[in-house]
Amino acid sequence: MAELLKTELKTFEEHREELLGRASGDFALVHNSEVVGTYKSKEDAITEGYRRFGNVPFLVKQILAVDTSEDFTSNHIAI
Amino acid sequence: MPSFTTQNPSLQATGPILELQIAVPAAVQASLVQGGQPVPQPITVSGLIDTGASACVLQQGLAAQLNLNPIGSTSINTPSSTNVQCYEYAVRYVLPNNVTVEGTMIEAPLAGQNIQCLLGRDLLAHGTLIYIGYANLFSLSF
Repeated sequence: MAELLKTELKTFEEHREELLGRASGDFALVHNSEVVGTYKSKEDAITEGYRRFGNVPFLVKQILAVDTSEDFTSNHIAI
Repeated sequence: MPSFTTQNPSLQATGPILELQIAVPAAVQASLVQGGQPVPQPITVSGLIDTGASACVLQQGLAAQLNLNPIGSTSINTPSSTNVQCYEYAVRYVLPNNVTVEGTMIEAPLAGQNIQCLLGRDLLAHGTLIYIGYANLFSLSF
């Protein structure tokens, strides 16, 4: 994968413990090296990201102790 | 309740495939219009409703056609790979009968030429899917 969101993912990891303490299960909005805020829904975090920054890369990520993966049981994905 | 019904005599062989459009999300469209910038035209794709997919997937390269930037990164597991990192994009689904839903899609390479997206359980979570095999039809409502 390319380098997009590398800074945001690093920022999220640096703040994960603190975010878990105050907003576990919510969604964090991260832009560059700033945690902009936390939101109850993913949709709200995305909307706020576009409102603040426009159509640029930003990270919306659920605040969990361990990240979950998406699962695909068929062979449609060529990975 | 917005809904559509599709009948396909080859439903058992092909699965619940439908033609839909993928468009930029409303928030991006509003931002572009406000800035006097052109709004990318929606892309028409063939999609498979896949209850074995926990999330929706868009064929690699199509997000760039919509001039979208990623809003997330997630890892995926497939029958042959685990923990592959992929970008996630916010999109607007324009389904048959003009049923419109805002959501997100993971970008990944899809095998074959006939399907450009998978409609997974994150989209189905918002609606009701009815599959009537003996009548070769399926219906989706939100």
